[in-house]
Amino acid sequence: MNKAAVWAIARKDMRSMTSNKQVWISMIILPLIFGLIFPVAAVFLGKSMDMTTEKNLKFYHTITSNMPDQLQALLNVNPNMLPNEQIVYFILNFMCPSFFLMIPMVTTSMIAANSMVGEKERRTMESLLFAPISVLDLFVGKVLSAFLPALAVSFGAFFGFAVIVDALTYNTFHALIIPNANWLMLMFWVIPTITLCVILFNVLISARVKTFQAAQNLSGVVVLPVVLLIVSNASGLLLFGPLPMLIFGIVVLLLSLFFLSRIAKWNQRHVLFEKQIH
Amino acid sequence: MNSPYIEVSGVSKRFGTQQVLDDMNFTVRRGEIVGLLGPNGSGKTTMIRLLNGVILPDAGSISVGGHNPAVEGDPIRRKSGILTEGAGMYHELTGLQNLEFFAKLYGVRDQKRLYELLEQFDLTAHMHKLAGTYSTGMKKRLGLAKALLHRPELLFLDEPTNGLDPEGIQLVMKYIRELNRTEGTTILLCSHVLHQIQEVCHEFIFMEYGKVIEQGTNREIESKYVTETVLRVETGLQINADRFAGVSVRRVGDEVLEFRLPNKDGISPLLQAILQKSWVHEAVITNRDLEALYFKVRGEQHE
Repeated sequence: MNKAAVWAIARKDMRSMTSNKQVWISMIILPLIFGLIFPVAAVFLGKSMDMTTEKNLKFYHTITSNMPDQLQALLNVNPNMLPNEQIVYFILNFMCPSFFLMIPMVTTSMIAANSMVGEKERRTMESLLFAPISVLDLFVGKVLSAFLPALAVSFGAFFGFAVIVDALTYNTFHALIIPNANWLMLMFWVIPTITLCVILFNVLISARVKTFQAAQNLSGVVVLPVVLLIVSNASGLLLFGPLPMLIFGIVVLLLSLFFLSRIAKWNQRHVLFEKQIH
Repeated sequence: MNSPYIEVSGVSKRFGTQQVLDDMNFTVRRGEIVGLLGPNGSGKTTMIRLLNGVILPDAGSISVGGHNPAVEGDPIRRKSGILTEGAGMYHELTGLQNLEFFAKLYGVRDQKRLYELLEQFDLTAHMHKLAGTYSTGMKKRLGLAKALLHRPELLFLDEPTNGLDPEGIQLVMKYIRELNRTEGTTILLCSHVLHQIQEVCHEFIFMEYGKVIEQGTNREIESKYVTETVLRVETGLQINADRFAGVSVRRVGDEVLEFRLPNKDGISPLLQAILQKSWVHEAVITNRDLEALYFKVRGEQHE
């Protein structure tokens, strides 16, 4: 692999991204809402809820009684916690991870979907395919250009989330509730592997379609439902703890590596050229 | 110096139902500037893509510097540079950033080379401006600088003068000539603007409907196709008949006459005869420039 060329492609795309205000603003809005504003609001709401009133207690029981047994058990994980504290603890540790899973995949899906077909629409794909770089170099560069910003945004949001949430809840729990083993496994293993896989699919779609609009549509129809399915089941995955998450990540990573090796085979230079230029 | 560098034999290419190239045959010698000429849609760009191995032929064989582009495209792409018709530069990057990016793809580490090329193509003052703000001519010159980054031994130029002003055309043509003379670069130049490339090319390949209809030097094609000499003379000579000094003549302008001679040997005696009667300001053979030859060759193919 030509590392210099791979980095050059990744850096060039990231530079284009950061030079476009609309792109980077849209990349920051989602993490800001779901990674910072929502958790902070949940903490304040949870802490300020008056659980002595019948109305609020009824509301609490309505929610908890509809939960699966495992989640109900989790809410009672620490019987010393007050219902308010349990709500805050539950939201932060079992609802927020879903948002953190969603952030990198949604923010970078469009970037990845634009990666190959964007070169075609700017009439620069020809220049890349005429260059002495392999198609695999091109794909890896494109994947990196979406993967690195995705991780940067996720880790940045997580750092902000951890600092703010711990600061706001320390007087309640008298301990730093974030991060814990589940969070660390999620942030530094599951999210990177699954984001890589989603980006790979989007880049593959981008190499196969003729317009960005088609890539966007296909990405929305094929990739997004799968992403949402995973995100909606993330709480379930967290219930099993770090080890199943580790195995899940390994499976996803192997799947990604398999697809990466296939991508270069399915997209030989002449196939890519005829698909994208003609 | 003159060993065949590019050999194309029986090459055909079809896109869907459209036969773009049909039994193409030609050779290019090392160190030559060869003009690949033909109307739009004659298959010139497709031929360049095949030579680079970015598309594959349906039939026939190609050799570029001893490599088959269909299976050994990388060595060819490493030693060749290309200027595509759209120049293919990134509009959101500056001129310098574009060159820095392509330098990395082509493995060029010498930053001085970038500044040297920017200077050569008159872009130093604009190197920090976004390429999207460049005029067509500037984009073309930047594209040319990109094609030359790695000092290629083979250069493909697809319509290099499209969109350039006369000054730009002169600059590019001068550089092509110099490059070929000083570094011995083999250059394959596609164009449909014939008079611009007449002076720089050693040899020409005429294409039509995906076929080579003629290949040779200007002189070779002239001797094959030109059966008479058409001489246009700016003179004060008055004629009353359709012959003068035994040569067929017709008036084509106020003070311009067109003579048709069997060959060039008759030019001097004719001019002497005219000068005895009147003045002569200019005499030009009009049917042996590239454009005239091109139409002659195409005309004969259609007969």
